[in-house]
Amino acid sequence: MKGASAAAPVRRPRTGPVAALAGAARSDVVRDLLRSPVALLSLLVVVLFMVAAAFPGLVAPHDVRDLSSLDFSDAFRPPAWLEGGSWSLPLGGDDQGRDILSAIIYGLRISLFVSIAAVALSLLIGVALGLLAGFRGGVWDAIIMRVADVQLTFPAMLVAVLFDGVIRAALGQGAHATFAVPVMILAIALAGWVQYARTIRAATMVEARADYVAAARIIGQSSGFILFRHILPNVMTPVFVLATIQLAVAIILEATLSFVGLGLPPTQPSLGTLIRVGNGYLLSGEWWLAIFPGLALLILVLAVNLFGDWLRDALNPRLR
Amino acid sequence: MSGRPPMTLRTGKTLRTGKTLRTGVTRRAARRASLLMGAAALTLLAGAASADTLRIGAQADAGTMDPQAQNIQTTITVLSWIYEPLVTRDENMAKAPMLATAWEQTDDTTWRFTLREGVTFADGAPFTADDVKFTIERSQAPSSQFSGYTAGLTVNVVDDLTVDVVTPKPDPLLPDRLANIPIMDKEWTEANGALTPQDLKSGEESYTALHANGTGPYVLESRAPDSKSVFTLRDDYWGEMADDIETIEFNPIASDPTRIAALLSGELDLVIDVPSQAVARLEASPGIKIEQVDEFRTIFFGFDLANDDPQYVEAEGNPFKKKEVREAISYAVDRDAIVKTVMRGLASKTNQILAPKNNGYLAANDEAPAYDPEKAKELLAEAGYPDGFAFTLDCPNNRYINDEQVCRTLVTMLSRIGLDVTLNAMPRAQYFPKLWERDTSAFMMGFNSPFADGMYALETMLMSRNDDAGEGIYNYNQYANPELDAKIRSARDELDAAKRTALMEEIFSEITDEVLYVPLYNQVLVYAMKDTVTAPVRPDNWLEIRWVTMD
Repeated sequence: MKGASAAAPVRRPRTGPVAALAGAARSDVVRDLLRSPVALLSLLVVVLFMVAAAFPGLVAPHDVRDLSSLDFSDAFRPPAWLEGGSWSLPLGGDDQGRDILSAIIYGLRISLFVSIAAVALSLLIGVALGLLAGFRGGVWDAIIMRVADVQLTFPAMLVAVLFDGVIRAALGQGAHATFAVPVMILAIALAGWVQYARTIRAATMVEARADYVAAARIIGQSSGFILFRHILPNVMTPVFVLATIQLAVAIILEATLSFVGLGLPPTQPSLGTLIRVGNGYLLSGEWWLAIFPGLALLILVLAVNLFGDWLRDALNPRLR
Repeated sequence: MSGRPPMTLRTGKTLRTGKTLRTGVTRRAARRASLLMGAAALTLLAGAASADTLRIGAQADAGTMDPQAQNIQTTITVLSWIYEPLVTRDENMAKAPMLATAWEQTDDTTWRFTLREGVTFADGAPFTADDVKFTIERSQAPSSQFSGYTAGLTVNVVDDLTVDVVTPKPDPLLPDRLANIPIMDKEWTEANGALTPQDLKSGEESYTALHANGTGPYVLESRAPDSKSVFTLRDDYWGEMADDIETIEFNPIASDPTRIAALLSGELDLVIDVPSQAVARLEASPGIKIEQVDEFRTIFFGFDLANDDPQYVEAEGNPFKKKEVREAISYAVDRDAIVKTVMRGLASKTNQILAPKNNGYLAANDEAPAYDPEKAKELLAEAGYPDGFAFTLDCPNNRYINDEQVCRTLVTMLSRIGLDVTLNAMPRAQYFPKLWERDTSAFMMGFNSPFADGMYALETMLMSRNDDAGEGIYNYNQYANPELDAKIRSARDELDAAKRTALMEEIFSEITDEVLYVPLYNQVLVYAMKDTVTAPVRPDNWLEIRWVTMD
């Protein structure tokens, strides 16, 4: 496997990315992972967060979505180890008497759902446009890549804010709360597709000139078949690495938008919304409202980034 | 030395931040006195000390510079630095002369105002009776939010410095009403095509939205909406000022902690709209002082009482039309908890829409139902909603102290009796036009009846809507009850003060009994400022710049 991927000119037609990853998993990658404590730890953290987000009911002490279960006398209760704290609210209570630990877990669920969906969507858009540009070339390439270049000159944050603003104006304030989650996903996805498109386009242009593509043409296979069955599997590996790193970016973007009040409403709190609400009490001494969701965000993004970094090195034969 | 030029810049910037920093600067300056840089620092020190700028922080900007377009206290306050009415208030909230030196009732419906001589507008034009007539008539336009004060008035110019104002009915409160109508220059306004007030509902832009020309002590130097407005002192102001602060900077800072941090770090000298949770911290901070007063403002919730199928309610019919439902909401609100936890004790709970010390206030109406979710559920079941219903609550997030937090708390509390409330919180710039269009089914409101009299609240919030008469202009619940209208009218037309008060007390009791609004609490108003600043707090949250001093 190592030899195969190191020798770039040797192609592996009809080898899917899953198969490639599975093949790699059997040997190098797993060994690499076991040898790198940082990567192992960050993977562990990411998995832990994902499990907590996927099954919040099993992990969280309270169901914070049920507003009627909140006890207002728990409002601003300090963390358990401080005076006045209680272990039923381990990290303290927020301004509504909501358990902060549970709020973080449910917030994590929304943050991760929005970011993963946004990354998947931008990957879909980016890969499709990248393939088209790289394979068709000419006018298609020119148009798609110029659009991508123009978008690259705007920061992702600006694109997301712009999109959010347009949708908000179109839907009106009331309807916006209902569509907050899909709007956020679209906004973040539209801010991120360019990276994928550029990566895929470059790889596709190289692959399109490869011998196995020429061979496929000679035996009369259609362009679509060649594109999706032969080229796509061979250009996907860098995209998975990119997606991991983009996930961290999406998480931060979602948190930022929610923090400035453009994202999810306070009744549907994501990590960013929790930090925004808690921010109002930083100066009055109730630091736990903002600090713990902030820490959760920090740890999650750091872990995703470290793992993505390691993955990039592990899957990049040139760095071996 | 030469490697650290930014230090000098920093000393210049931090000069006004407080005594400890100032001694630090002096010490540093002394150490470098023989050097060129030291001399530069001293120059900066001297320059900054005489610059004399008062930097004010607030949670939102004045919505316009047009004095008749937006009846929101922040806007009124900021414009009072530029524009002046005929009548003003003194430290005891009693009426005092401003642009009028005297006024008297010549018959039942006619008031004669003698105008101040020698007053000029900032552009040099003299202040005359024509300006008074023009302004009052302008304030009666449909786009004005001040028609509640001037509806039906006729103004007759007697001579250059005398006007007669004729009321449609005997009105002992006319001078109080005119205290809310700042006078504009007729020629200037006409020349700039601003014959009617800027229409904020339709998002109209007009010359007067960004420019101002008044008789007051300050002129508008520059304005960046929602960012910063700068005002400079006129050297030919006719009136008296407690101090001669050269420049006023008005900085809207929406985020509560940022605004408070700006005061603590010395970037601001005075902060209005202080969030309750910051008060303890500010009190403990050296160099900062707190001024507070019981505000005339009451915070309450209103509901659509007119439509049979309200837009933002998911239920059979209109539940809010049933008294039991409104009572249930009132029982479900834990006012004590909100006052203690959200407002940190800086509020007093109430069950009426009028604050103490207002004419018409009755202490007995403050008695709010004790928190009782069980009773609330029973009432809901009685009304035919045993499983509750869903609705959207509109709420501002930069208008009242902790407004969004209070709304969130209400959502939580109502969920306990089965009401599924979606919170729709938004900045005031969107909120008030939405309410004005009656595009709401449930809303938060804070009302401050001017001139310490409850009649304005009754006229504007409870009468059937009639814009021309200035009646019901703020009845966002769209309540229309001819019997109540008649009662309010008879109280308004009553000239015997004692009888009038008794009538108003009766009406306010009825409003409380019928739960036409669900009142929560009266706010305590807090200003925070540097030790060197003196800014008296008026209970109507009107920052009177003529009284502010700064060392």
